[in-house]
Amino acid sequence: MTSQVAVTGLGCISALGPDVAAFWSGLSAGRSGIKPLEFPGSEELHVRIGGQIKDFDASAHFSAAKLPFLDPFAQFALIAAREAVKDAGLSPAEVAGPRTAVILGTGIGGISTLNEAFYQRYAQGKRRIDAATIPKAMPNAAPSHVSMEFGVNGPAFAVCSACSSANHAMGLALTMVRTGVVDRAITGGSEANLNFANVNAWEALKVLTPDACRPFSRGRNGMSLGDGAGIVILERMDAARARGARIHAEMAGFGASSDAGDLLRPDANGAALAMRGALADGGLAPEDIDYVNAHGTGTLLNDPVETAAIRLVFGAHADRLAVSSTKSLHGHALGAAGALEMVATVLALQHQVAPPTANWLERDPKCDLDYVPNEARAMPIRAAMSNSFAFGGLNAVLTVKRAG
Amino acid sequence: MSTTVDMESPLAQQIIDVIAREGMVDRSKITATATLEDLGLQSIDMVMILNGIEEKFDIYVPMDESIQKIANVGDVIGVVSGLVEADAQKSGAKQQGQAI
Repeated sequence: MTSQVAVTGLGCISALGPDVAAFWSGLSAGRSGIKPLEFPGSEELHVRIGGQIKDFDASAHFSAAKLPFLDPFAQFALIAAREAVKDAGLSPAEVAGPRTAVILGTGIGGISTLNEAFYQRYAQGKRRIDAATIPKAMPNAAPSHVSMEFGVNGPAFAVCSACSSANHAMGLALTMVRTGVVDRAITGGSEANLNFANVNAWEALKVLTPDACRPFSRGRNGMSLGDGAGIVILERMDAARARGARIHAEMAGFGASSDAGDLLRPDANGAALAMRGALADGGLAPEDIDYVNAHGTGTLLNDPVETAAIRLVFGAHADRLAVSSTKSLHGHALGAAGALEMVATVLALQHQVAPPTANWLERDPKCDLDYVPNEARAMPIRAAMSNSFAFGGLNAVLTVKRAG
Repeated sequence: MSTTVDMESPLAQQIIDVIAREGMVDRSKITATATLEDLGLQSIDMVMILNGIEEKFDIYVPMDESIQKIANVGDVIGVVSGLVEADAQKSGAKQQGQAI
């Protein structure tokens, strides 16, 4: 038995604000949340900008008893999951039990916790580090805490494939709901990676911009890291309709592939394979897609390769696509990137507005598509694609369409 | 990009040392026209080389269009020499002596 799958709930927290409303407000206005980084040691870095979540008071969301056991990446997942479950209009009794799955992506899990613990051990010479370090840092901490909060007894696990983590998680969740393994899924991803040691390590990879993330633009020189979480609630379409749920979109298809090549350099054929898979799995022709939320990191390598991959898949229709990178607005949230971008893509479908690529200066000869430069565009969007491509050559692509 | 660099200059030789060490490449194969592919260098190797160059010469290598155009060893030496010389000029004659 296979079923259509509905997106009935959305939740997120990002550099653009604490919820979906703030996220869409920033996206549709083309207002970037990438700002100077503020954490201990940030002044020592070459790269001092990122999509940091500021003015965040964890104690406003979690009890004093719970907080010592929650790394920020789990906190963000919980906050976004609460918003998504509420948005879906599901009661606690409906979510709890064995018929719900929790499948969340993260690129690196509780690295804030590890950074702090190792700093205390190595630099400060503390003999004992916090006993909560491992349960806070493990990449499955986010799905574990979400399952505990909502009493979910169905399959719950973390998916870890760098920048494709969330798309892989949502793709698996789609498959499990579609085939009846579960009735619904809380899925997406979360990341909290903006601390000194992690940014320092990313800086060494020579992929971070010191001034501005300008995907697909001439003069681009790297990406900006971001923190955040995005959660979507997936349900069997017939069940969602039966309970009178508001249906944001249909999650149509999932495609995944590996480049099996270079650890850092993306490959157009590998990316194209995943995009074709997501179209075929969703029963969509290339001509059905109107908007692509690109992976669009703003690095020298990614953007021309992704452009070439889009041309491989879409042919002449590529020139009729609106393609944008919202990473220029919320930062590259690594394992949460696909989740924030899925929320952006579903909102684009709902509002019939393509969010823009910020900081775009002028055309690069190697990037010759319509990237919706700098200003959002009202346009008909029947179906959309969201791309994620990870270091290690792991590609995961999802397609969504308007619910009929 | 130009590959008419002086491969025998002291600075070029120091850059070649870094390429050989960080890229784990046989030094005798490092010629001006050897491409990154010829040397079997993957993207992570180039990152290691650029980091080694930053450390060796105490400079910052920005990821701009000049890096994007690098195809062979001569290009690497050309770009890095330019950065080292610009840094030396900025820092004055004393530091130039140390860098080269």
